[in-house]
Amino acid sequence: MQLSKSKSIRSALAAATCSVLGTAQAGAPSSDGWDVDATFLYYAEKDRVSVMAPGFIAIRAIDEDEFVTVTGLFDTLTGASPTGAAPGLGGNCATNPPGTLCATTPSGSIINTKAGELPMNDFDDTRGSLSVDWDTPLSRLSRNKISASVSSETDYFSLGLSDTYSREFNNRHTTLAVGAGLTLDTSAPQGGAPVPMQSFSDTTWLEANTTTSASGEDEQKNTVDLLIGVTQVLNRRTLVQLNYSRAMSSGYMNDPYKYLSIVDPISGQTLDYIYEGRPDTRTTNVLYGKVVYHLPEDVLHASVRLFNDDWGINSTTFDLHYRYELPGGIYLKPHLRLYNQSAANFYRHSLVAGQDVLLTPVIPAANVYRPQVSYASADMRLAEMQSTTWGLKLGIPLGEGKQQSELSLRIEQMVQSDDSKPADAIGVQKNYNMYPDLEATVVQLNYSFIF
Amino acid sequence: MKKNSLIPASLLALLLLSLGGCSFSEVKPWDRDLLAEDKMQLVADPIDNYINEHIYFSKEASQGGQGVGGGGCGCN
Repeated sequence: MQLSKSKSIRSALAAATCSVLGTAQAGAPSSDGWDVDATFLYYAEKDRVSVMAPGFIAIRAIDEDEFVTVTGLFDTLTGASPTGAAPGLGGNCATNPPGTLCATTPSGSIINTKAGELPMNDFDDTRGSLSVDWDTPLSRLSRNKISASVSSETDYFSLGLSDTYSREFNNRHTTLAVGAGLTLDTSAPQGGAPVPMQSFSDTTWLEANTTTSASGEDEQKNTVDLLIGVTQVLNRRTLVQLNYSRAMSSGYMNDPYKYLSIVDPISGQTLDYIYEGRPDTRTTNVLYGKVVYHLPEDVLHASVRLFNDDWGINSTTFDLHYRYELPGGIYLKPHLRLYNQSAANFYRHSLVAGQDVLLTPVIPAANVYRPQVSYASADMRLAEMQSTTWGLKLGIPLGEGKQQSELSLRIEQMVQSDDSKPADAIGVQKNYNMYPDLEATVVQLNYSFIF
Repeated sequence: MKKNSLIPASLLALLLLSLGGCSFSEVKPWDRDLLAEDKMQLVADPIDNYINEHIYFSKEASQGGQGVGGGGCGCN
């Protein structure tokens, strides 16, 4: 098989790492340049967050069958994100008395809501991420890949290190891979991390009751990933993959900007707010299967992912890509993704006064709400949810030989939804949409070239 | 709206495997031309996959499956 110069790096890397292309080992060509995928992402949610993000993946052969991959993405985010507070009659802290229909967070943010609308928190942020993979042969049939990654945003910093070893068997029809990773995250919320499960009106119940401080100290989270996977060539047209992975996290898991409404048990009106609190450990299990099938010209990619964790979340993801070949190397690639998840066992759209939280006299302060539950979060990402993504990509090859490049455009739509009228809605909540759909549009422009 | 995508997903996966693809036959090195194509790689579009993982990580409670490690984020 003679690989074209323009595709040499990626094909050689794929040949070496995916271990299914036995021909490439002997003659994998090395290139003098970088094989670059440059991208510009525009992501926009209806009435919520929008993101603009240029990024790239660049691969270079540094020796025979030895490759370096550099990946970068720079996000600029702006818009509004749900606070976790439940919809209510609304209020404005400039005109209403605090503590009933509006509130001011301890960090000074004013919460203004419109009647029946999901309370939102405006924000702007930037995030830069960079990762480097070093993929090298250990022997004729085995390889090792070391990856290091770093990402930074205004109030969050993450470092990651991972290693994946793979070995071929069975005349290179079977590849076994094992991997391990460590990720160290640091959260430095603006104004300091709030005390989990502390109501806004409670200014007395601080560090004595929690390991998390409100003093502005950074919070840490560590995650260890383990993976074992097998890739099998079934026949000339079919490739299958099966992975099992387990991740164990410990440390600060809260979203420091999210809280819940404490509502009246009859009227459903918000009486106060309380910061969310999540367990400080989490273990996740993922079973991931993929089939790649080559039709006469077209190629089908289908995958299923089964996920569960010890927070009570179970999810299923089905993902389908179909590459439809057109004359001249042009292709269309429709995409369908179906996702559903169950709620975390501590997810609550609001906490009920007198049940989940009790008024407790505090001297010299007035009565304040104290939680009767250990954990609670109204983060909609932890709710039961169904999500559907559909989209289309158009790819157009440009140039020939070493000058060959590709331009592609991808447009997708994602809709997340759940029960907008939950059975446990109280009073006024029954009049409102408790889980408005999240509708997002993805537009991504790619340009692939040799540099 | 409630629906369980597990059933259609599993059925479709079985259908795909039954497309003649589940029959094993040895593939000699000189017959690996189709498997060698970029579009046949497990991750055929790395930059798209990277973006997708980033988006879904930010918007859903599930993550992982395809590999280990990766940069975290305090995504809102």
